[in-house]
Amino acid sequence: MTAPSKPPQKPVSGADELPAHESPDSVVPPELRPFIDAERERPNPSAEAVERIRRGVERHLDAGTQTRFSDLGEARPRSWRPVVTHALTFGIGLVAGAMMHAAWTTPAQNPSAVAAPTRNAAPMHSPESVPSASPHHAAPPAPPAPAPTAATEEPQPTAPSVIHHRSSPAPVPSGVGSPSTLERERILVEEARVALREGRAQDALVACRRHAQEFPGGMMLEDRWSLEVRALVASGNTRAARQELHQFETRFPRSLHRRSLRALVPISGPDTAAQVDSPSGP
Amino acid sequence: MSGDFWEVMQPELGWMHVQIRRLGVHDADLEDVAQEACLRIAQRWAERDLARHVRPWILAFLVRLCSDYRKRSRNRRVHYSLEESRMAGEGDPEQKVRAVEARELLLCALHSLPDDYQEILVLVVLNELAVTEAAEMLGLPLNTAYTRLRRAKLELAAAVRRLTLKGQP
Repeated sequence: MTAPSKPPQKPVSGADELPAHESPDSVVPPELRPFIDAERERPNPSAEAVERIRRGVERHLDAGTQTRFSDLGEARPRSWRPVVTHALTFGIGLVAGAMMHAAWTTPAQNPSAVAAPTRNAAPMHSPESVPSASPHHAAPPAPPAPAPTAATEEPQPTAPSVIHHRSSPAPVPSGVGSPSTLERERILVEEARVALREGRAQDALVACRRHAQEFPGGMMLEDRWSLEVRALVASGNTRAARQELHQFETRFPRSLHRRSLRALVPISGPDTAAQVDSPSGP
Repeated sequence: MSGDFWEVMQPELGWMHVQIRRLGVHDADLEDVAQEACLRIAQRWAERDLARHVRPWILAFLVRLCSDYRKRSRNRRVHYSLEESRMAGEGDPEQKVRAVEARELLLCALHSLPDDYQEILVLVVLNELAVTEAAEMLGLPLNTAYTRLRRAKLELAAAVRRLTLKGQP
């Protein structure tokens, strides 16, 4: 923020006239003063309340869960857990529905139908054919469609200049959100930050890439991504930086980094693609 | 979590609680919103500028979080909390009660104002931040921030007057 181009406007109301010894910004009309003073001296909550907050935060950090208000605006990458749970539930439901439909529309031929307590036409499925609602015993969903082999045969880029962030949460290592995992994430992000601060843009990109590989949907995705944009700018690869910024803004439209990144990435001008394709090793 | 997270944040939890209340969060939701704020801060912990005081940085999180909260919350009235009443009983009871009443009246008046007035008043008047800092935090041009602050003060004074008159027998 730059210095004001002109001094602040004089208050229009006499109530806003300021005592000479006070800072003009926080001074209020005289009739408000007792109220403001009382509020400024508001006591902190009890130690128990503070402790409850701390315990709650630690619990959420340990479990990697969300609070009641996690959906207030964007702040962090969505947790992969609800997605996986919903997908699993949906898959199980689909399989169960298909099997039920098949069982009800075909005559009972299964010997175990004798044991069926209801519906003569509906044979009781043998235990191994009934998908359990419990994820621990859930049979895998229907056989997957033939996997596209071309994708698997494609050579993997060894040192991408740009880290590809997923638009949807990708499978992440188990234990995401646990203190040790979070600590590892933080170390990688910090490594990138330090490298960037010391002018080692390539090292910063390498650290970002390592974070992306280890924690594709990690808790610090937003931080890593913003650092990557900065590192790309620092390395002179403005075109890639601009692309990354665009994707970043799509994913995190209300990020606190947005303004600073926008200021950093030139909107137009010569696109340069520096040699960032080969960071020094993984 | 980084080793110094709690070392820095623990002393600030009470202050955060107070700020969240000022920013229009229900008593019943104060602790939950404080927890959410801590989680968001934890995610960005490595980014903070060590050369600067941590409070303005925290305040930026709180302002945004509470703004989202207010948008979702229909009932924005702030009530006396049990905790507040209990604190009112410590020390000189009469003075404490007067202070509690003044605080609650002020918050009632504050929360009757538009959100953008509330935010700038909390930042500049109650937390005594410079307008330049508040403008940066709220993403406002400086002159807009000054104008908004001036109007917000007048509106707040008018709201307090209304509530004071209403409370008189």
